[in-house]
Amino acid sequence: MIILLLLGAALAVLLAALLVRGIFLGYPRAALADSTLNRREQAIVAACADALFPPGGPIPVSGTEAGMLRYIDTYLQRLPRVPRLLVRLLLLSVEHGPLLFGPRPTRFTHLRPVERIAVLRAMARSSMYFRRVSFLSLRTMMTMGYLAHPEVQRRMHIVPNAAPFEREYA
Amino acid sequence: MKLDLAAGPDPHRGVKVFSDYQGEIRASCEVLVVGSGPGGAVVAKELAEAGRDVILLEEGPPFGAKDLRQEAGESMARTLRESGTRATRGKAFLPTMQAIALGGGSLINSAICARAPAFVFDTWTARTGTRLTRAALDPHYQRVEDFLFVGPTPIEVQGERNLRFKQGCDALGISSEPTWRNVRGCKGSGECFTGCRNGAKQSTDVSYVPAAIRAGARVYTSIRAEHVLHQGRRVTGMRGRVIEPFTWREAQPVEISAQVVVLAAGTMATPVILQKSELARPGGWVGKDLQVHPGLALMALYDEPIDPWKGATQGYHSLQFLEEHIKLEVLWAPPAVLAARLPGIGHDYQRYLLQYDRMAPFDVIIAAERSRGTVQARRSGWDPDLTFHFDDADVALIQRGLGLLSDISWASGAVAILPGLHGVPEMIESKADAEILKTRKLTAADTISGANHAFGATRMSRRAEDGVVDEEGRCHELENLYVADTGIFAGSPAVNPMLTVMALADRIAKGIAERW
Repeated sequence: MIILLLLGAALAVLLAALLVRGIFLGYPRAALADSTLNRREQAIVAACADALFPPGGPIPVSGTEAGMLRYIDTYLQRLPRVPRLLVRLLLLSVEHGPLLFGPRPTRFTHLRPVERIAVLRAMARSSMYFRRVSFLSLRTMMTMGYLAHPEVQRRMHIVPNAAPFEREYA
Repeated sequence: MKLDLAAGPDPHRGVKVFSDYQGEIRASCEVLVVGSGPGGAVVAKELAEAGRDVILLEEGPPFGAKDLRQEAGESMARTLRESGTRATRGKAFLPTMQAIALGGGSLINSAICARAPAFVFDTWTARTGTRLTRAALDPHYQRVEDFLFVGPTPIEVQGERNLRFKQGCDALGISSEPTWRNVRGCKGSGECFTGCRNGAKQSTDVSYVPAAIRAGARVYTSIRAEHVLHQGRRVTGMRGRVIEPFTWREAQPVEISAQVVVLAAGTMATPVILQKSELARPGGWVGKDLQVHPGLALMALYDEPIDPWKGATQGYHSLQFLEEHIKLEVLWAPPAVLAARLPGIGHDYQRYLLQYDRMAPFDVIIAAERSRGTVQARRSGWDPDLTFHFDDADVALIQRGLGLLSDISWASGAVAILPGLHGVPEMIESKADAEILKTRKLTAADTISGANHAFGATRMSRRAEDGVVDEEGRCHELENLYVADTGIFAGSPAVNPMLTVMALADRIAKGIAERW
């Protein structure tokens, strides 16, 4: 009986440890040093960036290749305290959203790329206003980062107005 | 910190900046003006020219051409309060903006100058008993227009995006016209929102503020006005603090004594100053009756390049439906800001981005007469807590405007439209299918609306119990405290508010000069 109880307790501890690791731990090393984004946030940003702007697409620059991590890190640094906190909560809500909304009960960064896209699509089309607003906020930040990349601009035929004082119209 | 200024004559010569300050700042003057945007700059210039000893305070720094950034995130972090993340609370979040810069909102708006139609002032009269008329304000409108070189946007700088709107309106028999703007030598670079690097826009930092300095006014930037000092019914000055540009860190204290104080910090900031100063409270209207112009846009997609980034930011509009409280416009902003509302995820999103050069955004703004909001000081900090309750009837009104924009899009040769609404197809490829924009009942939460014109939170009224200031802009309860920003509007101006607040400020300055 005692052995069974001990085994049960050990199993419970193991499950709890796995749960904690699954939710809070096990993130890869930070890609950016000296950053405002912590290791977990960097992983979430990278996952979101490449879900919104995957590699191998019609614009052959992925979100991370466009420098999204650095962009969001700088963006966060510039934000006042309260909006910065809200952005951090937004990232956390995306990361742990799959526990509530699927497609399977794990964190966003553990999903396959195609599943991540499905998660973001579900947010964009959600009947819950807060989920749609969260998605729009995320996409606005990341679109600013993506379109800040010169190659993306070139592919989109956006002509930077580099010499405004010389611009002429016919 | 000395900021680089535009090439050529320095329009900010004489402006005190953060690096000029050492130790506590104390000063005195006859007239202290808080805020260098369209309201405050006009008052400062007019009173300085009338021989008054004027100090003009501005919380933000001056921006020269080289200080302006085109990248949306960086630009908003530098020029907008709360880095451009401000929004009202309510049934839906409506993003809204307030500049923090010498020149205030005039630095980053589209420079549209439109006189409010006569019926606006009749509405104000009915609401709060004011006797202000369009005819009475016309001389002030004229003075401002003359000073700012206001004129119609020339065809040469319209760009295809604006011309498509005109084409659509023409085809439908809807009247439209080039916007009148305060610009000189516009090159149509579409950068109004991030500040005009061409130096064409006659924002107040390069027009009224330099004129005020020439007339002897002292201009201090990077100083936040916090508390109005008062004794009984008379104000005696202002207490504030130096604020470091871009880090927004608080530095040394500031105290300025004055015989007259004019608050022109904007309808989202002036109420906060009054609330924290515990002033103008008896009527109960400070921070109440906030109104905005909710705006909603759609993207028209064409089968040939439009290059929406070329051409005047908002070069064309239609005023035909003003009496129905609807104004139709062409829209532009940094590409990324508008692209964020395109449909699709992943490669689908990238495919839409690749079609961006064939798109033109059109928008509708409405005078949301049934919707109201509040401006409330928070317990800590100086950013306001904003609410706005977007009434269902006003949502229906903006939906009617969206339907008109849809018609204009098809008539202008669009092959599809992207409405950007929840519960509506992401892309609509025929005019028949677009009927859903008129028939489906939308809620505020179905839309992505913005609120870029805000007014009314310190409204004018004939009687003290109906508002905060009288028709001269003077606080009902205080002898020498004035308000000269859009907060004093007793209702929507129906059009873009800048010219009206400047005309009112011109009138208020005349009144102060006569009285004091």
